[in-house]
Amino acid sequence: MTVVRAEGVSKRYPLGATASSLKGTIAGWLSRRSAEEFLWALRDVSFSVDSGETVGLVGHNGAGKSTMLRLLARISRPTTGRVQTRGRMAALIALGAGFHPDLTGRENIFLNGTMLGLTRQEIRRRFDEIVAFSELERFLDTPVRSYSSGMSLRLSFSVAAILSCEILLVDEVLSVGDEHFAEKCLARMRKMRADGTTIILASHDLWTVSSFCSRAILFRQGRIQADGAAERVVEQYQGELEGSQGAAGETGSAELCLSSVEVREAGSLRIRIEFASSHVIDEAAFVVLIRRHDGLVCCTADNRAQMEGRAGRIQGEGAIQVALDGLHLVGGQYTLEAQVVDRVSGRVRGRSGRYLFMLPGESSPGGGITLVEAVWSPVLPVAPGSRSP
Amino acid sequence: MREDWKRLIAARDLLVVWTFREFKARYAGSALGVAWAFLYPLSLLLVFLLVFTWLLNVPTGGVPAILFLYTGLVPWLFTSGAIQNAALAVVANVDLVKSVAFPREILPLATVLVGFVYFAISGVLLALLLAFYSVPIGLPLLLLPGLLVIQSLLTLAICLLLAGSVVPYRDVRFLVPVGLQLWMYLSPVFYPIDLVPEWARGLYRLNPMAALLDAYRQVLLFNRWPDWLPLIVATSISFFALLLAYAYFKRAEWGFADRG
Repeated sequence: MTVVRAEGVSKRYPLGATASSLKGTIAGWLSRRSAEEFLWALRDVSFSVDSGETVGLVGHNGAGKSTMLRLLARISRPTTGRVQTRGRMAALIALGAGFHPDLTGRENIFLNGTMLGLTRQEIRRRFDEIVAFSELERFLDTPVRSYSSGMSLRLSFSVAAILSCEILLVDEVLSVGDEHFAEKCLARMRKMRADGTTIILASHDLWTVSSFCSRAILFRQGRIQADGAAERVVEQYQGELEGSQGAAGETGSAELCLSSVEVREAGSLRIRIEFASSHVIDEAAFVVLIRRHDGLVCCTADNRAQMEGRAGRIQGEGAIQVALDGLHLVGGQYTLEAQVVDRVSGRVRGRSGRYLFMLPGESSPGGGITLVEAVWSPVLPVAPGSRSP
Repeated sequence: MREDWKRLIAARDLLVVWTFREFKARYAGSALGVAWAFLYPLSLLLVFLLVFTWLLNVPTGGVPAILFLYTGLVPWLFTSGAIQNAALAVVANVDLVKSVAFPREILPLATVLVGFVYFAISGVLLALLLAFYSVPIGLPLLLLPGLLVIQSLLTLAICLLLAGSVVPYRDVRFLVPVGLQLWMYLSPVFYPIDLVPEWARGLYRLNPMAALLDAYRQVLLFNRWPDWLPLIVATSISFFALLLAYAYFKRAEWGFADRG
């Protein structure tokens, strides 16, 4: 079922201050033509989203992602075209909307919650849950003025976390805050995704988009440039980013080489990655991806979780190794790729070639990509009342 | 308009919470806090007494000057205060408007509600004053809730109109204080209606605020029913102004997030 539909949507914004004054308006009347200039943020954009899909909107700043979200959220109205949504919708465009520094944490929970469309009763009923999620019990009656920015972020996400909606729109919210917080948000969103919530998220964090979303839409100068499987669209966009970097004469990327890959038994890999970076990358994270022959990403591993508190600065040449264990993939041909990712922007700063390897073992006769241990046992018919307590 | 109305009803909790926020935030950090809700009209009352009664000797229609001035001042402060705040209601919260979809009329509505809370607070003091001077009360007092409703509708209409028009036309902001001055002088806030020349009185009473203030005084101070015709005119004007202003606001609101 289609729950979100955009049909031929265009959006323009007035440019400059002429539009915002009596003088400009009167001058416009006198000259009998519009004195305004416009910026077209979106041009003839059409797409539809089915119930339960997770869609990432990607593209450069100003490409139209955020504008699209605002139109979907009914914060703004398209200049031409139509936007339709079906079902209860919640939009997280800015966290802490309506927070007032002079009000206490408790009061701001109600303010922010009602802003997001909750009733006071709903908030009261789930108040403890909100507070527990925020881990701010001790500061509830302190004015938000004296919160750190991280604390108010936590408070505002905690309110958003209890939203139950059929469509969730998220704009860049996850890119702020610490890793722990971002992980917590993602976990919550995964749960919503599992519950069947349709999620549309605009993000620069390509890693999040490709790992979280099933589908991605790439915007470029207000138009849709690509729409399809998240992995593929993100790859296309990354290719473009790297291309444009090269064109701009930038060299920031690292060269990666999978210097040794050792396949052990029982789905266990030892990988050694050598890198050479011509530039300093301050916040680098390493990612390895294992793809099936048809390109499906079977699993990924990155070292972000292990880098908590440590700057992942890389410079010059070096090597890193990773042990992958408990890989329950069916036997067959796979490729391995290593990437180095900028943790802040999500940009891929370098990638290795694809290393082809075979995993031993049988393929599962019924299809599927992972192996599970299954123990079957017969269930004897149980006579009523004879069940042991 | 029906859809808009439904959305507003659905967001009533936000209206309550936002009104509370506006109320609390206003005095946050000030030493006397909410006491200003009393002190502000009282200090203005002293100014009015000093200037109009003691210096200029403006007649007060045969009732104690304090009562006369206060019955004009309290309703006037409700309307003028709400209007001043409403003019900035959308502009001051532009970040919010740009990031959350909620019925935007909640912003000017809340300024009227906050104004009404102050109105009620000052009203308590007024009741004490009336009791102190043992002003007779009777049936006409039943009209008081009606007068409050009419004045609130009128105030809300102007608030919606201004909150909506300040976004595209920032200059309006600077016209508001001037307009309010003019309106105050054209309304019987600190003088009785009898001072207006006979020939102009018909026109004068088309001003809904003039009809309302006169009616407040008739009901509160003289235990008399007010002149009905001006009051009916004021009621119709307020009602239609509100319909028009709401329609205007809902049409203008789509530009708020774009122009901010």
